[in-house]
Amino acid sequence: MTNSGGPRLSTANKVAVYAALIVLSIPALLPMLWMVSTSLKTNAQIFGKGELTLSSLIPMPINVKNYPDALQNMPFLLYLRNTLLLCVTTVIGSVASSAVVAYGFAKLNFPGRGAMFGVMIATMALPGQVTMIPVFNLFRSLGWYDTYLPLIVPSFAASAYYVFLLTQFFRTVPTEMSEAAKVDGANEWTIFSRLILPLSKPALATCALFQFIGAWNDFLGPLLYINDPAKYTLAYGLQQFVSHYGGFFAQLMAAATIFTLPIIVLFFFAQKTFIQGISTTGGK
Amino acid sequence: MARTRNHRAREYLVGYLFVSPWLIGFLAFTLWPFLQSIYLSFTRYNIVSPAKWVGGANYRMLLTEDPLFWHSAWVTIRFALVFVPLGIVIGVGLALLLNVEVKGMAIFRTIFYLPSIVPTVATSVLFIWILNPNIGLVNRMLELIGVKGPAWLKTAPWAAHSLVLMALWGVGGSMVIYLAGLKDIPQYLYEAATIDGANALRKLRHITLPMMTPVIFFNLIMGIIGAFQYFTQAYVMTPNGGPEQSTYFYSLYLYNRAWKYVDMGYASAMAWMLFLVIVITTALVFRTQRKWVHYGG
Amino acid sequence: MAAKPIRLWLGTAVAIAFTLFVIVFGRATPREYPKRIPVRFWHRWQGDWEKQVKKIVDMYNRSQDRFEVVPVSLPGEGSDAKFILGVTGGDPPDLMSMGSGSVPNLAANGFLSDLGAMMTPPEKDQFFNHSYPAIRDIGMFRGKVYGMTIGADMMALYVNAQQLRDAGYDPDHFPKTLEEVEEMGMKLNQRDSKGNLTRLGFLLSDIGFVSHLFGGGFYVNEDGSLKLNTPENVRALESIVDYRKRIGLDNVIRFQAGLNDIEGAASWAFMHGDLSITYDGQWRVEELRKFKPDLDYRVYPVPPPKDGGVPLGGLVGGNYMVVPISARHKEGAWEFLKFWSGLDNPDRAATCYNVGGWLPYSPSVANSATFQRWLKNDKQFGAFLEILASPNCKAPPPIANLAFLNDLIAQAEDEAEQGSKSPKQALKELEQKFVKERDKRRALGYDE
Repeated sequence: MTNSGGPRLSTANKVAVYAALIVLSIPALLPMLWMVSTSLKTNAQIFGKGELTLSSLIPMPINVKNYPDALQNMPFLLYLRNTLLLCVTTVIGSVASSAVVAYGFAKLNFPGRGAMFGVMIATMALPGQVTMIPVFNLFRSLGWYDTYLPLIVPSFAASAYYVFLLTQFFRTVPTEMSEAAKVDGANEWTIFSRLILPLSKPALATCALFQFIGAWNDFLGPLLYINDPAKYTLAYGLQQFVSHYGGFFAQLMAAATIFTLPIIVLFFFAQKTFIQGISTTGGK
Repeated sequence: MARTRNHRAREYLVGYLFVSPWLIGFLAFTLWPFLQSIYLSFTRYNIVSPAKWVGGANYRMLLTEDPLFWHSAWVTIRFALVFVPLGIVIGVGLALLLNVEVKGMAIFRTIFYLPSIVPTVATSVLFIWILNPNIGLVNRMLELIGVKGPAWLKTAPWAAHSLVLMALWGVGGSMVIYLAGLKDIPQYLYEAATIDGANALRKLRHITLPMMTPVIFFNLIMGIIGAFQYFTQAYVMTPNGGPEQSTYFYSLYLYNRAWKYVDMGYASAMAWMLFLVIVITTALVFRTQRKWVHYGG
Repeated sequence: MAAKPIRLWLGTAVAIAFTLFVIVFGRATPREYPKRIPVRFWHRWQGDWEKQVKKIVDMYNRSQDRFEVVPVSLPGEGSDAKFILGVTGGDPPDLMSMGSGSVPNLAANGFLSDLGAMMTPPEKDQFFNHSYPAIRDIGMFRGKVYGMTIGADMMALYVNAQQLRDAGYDPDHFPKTLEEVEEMGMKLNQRDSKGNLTRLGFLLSDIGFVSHLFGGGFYVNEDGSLKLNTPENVRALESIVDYRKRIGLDNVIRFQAGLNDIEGAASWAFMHGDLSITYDGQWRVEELRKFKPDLDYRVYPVPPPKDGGVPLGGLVGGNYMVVPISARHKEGAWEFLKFWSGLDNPDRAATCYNVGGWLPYSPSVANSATFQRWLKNDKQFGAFLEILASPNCKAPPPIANLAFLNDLIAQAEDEAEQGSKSPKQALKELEQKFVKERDKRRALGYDE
């Protein structure tokens, strides 16, 4: 298994890379660190004036009270359960359906293919706000209001975003490979599932990750279609901390940290799939 | 003869079958709302009462009697012109850097990806805080080197700049896609190039970048669409359109027309104008595909 | 390679165990009174305020046994869309609390029930003849009542007594003209070594309110005539802009940004001495009692300018309850609304108002025994009641596109303050834009 990794470097180059990385990660990381550090402060510490020192970043003493307070202000486990339900189902739905559709666009020929692809891209161009009402009415007339169905079912109809992405990936697979498989007597489905899919693990993993995060962060969908507070999600719960009528800043930061932590962990471990992607050299 | 025709018909059928999930979903969930919103754009509609046909009046007024339309369009276009190219350059650069095989790279990749997964509600509030003129992190750091930072979100050119910077900060999302694209480049190409005596820079120019053009193309299209539809941060951080309306994005104006002034017909017309612009722009970019996008297949 | 399957199985096992855990323990909270008729109440109060609202809801639920009010707190972002969709989608709340600016628009578009139709004759008499006029008018549109307040808002000046004394002023004898207060403010400003403001003496904002002090105000009359670009309004805007110039606009912007709007009640800058004389709302009185009872402060109505001003001028806003036209349990909604507003029992409702430090809809509540008792502990609140009773205290114009007008006003103020337009220019353009919009609406067939 030849790993399609990056270039091998000399020590001097390695040092340069590390240096660049460290310098660049400061602007990337600083706001996040600030978020966490704010979540560990009391109000006086946050709004106090004074010189910027290291203790502004690492509060002394550390005040962890915001975390239990934040958790108390929303039914965390309930929201977590609902969110996980939505995330897992929509990941399965969208990745599976988008892969299938992308294969059709990328590798198969049929009349109207170009036009359909264009229409699909075009559907991303219309701002959602003006279709919100017709879509809402549609789901309501189906009786899906106040259920998760409006959020789950459409994901099985492939998302233009993922289809587009996967099409780009599938098209990079040389046609010789599929030709060879056809000569061996394979039909399109076999080529798709046995050949293309395994080769596209990085792309598929990317889509799965994006969908998971998208569903995790989706606030508007649940807000609009769900009325029963027992069905709300974490994103909705987080939104509760931001308001003109009495938001709590430090608790918001604590809640946001709790909210983001699982995704960070997920990404960290999911990276391996990107890294250990199988190359397309045709090594069988 | 018959066998070829049958064969071709079968081929088409298989194609349709593969595409059917999207097709069915489109016909069921998307087409009707689209058609209805086109219809609404030719009406006066305040949602509770039935829509009343007004012909092209919404479009006419939008183009000739609404300076805010032009202003918000300009704010949005300017944002796109700055953000999209910068986003691609930074995203690709970062991905190349993060593709190197050194120890601990997983941590760095996570660090750069982090900004794009923190929920917008939290980052918006966080940045309002960080960009605070007197006690925000950015200005306090600038103070250390003797520079008096501007009142970022409350002063005219800086508010727009702040939003661009915030958007660039979240470029880690596209970086992940570039990484996946980099991983897809066959190793044998590099090996062959090394044999031919190519150095790192030439490899970059002649192998890496060309092989990455499919994902760059993808991010270019998505970047354009996203930039033209940019809404959430502007809505949360500058709901009034910002100082001197410098961050009154098109989608923000659309939102106000739709939900605040309950002027759904007019808002639908605005949406379809935006749609046209996006479609034309992306169609043009698609046209250029042949010139620079390189598919291996 | 053997490690990989093991890791895979381990990972899957952990995932399954975790999922089971979450499913078992993530249970929904059941209803308190499942046998009663549910009345769904959507509101926008968060955090600490949400708890106060819950108190009132609990009070009501305990006081009768037919209905159960189920409160749902909606976050601000997206709540407009949700409410509209809920009403048109056939699953609306029964009662909703809105900002006063939205009521005329929703009423004009037919979203709301006519509350007057649910009133008995004595209730009608009470409401139409014995409310504070401004408060009553906000909820009315074309002669019908669509919104009723359970907490109107009003602004006045909060004055830090100690800081005034330190500067040589007597906090119990407050100036009678705006100009004098401005001078006081300049003396009370404090800066640091770099010239940045550390304490703001006095600052007025919100031209919508200030214009009333100058005898102006932004109004659209029934016959369609406009009171937008008037000399009084121009004077008011100039006053706002010029005062900022005196302090230094940049300084003001920076200082104000540093006063957290994001934080909750407990860290209001006035409580920490960052503002000597500040213009804020009546709900602060209750907050001060809760979080900083030892602060020595006074409340005064904003004094009018030396010439051409009117005393006790102001603009009322606040929270209004509306009942959607398609609500399913209107009766329950109306009963709860009466309970909270005090239409039929002012004394009991006084407790509700006091929970949030809100302004009552009628003197009958204000004069009730319970309210008076509370007033003794929050003496300063009396100043607000004084303004509320004055004829110069007004409601915003009941036009359908009030939200649009309010946005225009805010924009004009912003442009004038930033200096990109002169006050005269800004208001002139405001009127032009409004007229254009109005003509557009007429041409498209919106009935105004």
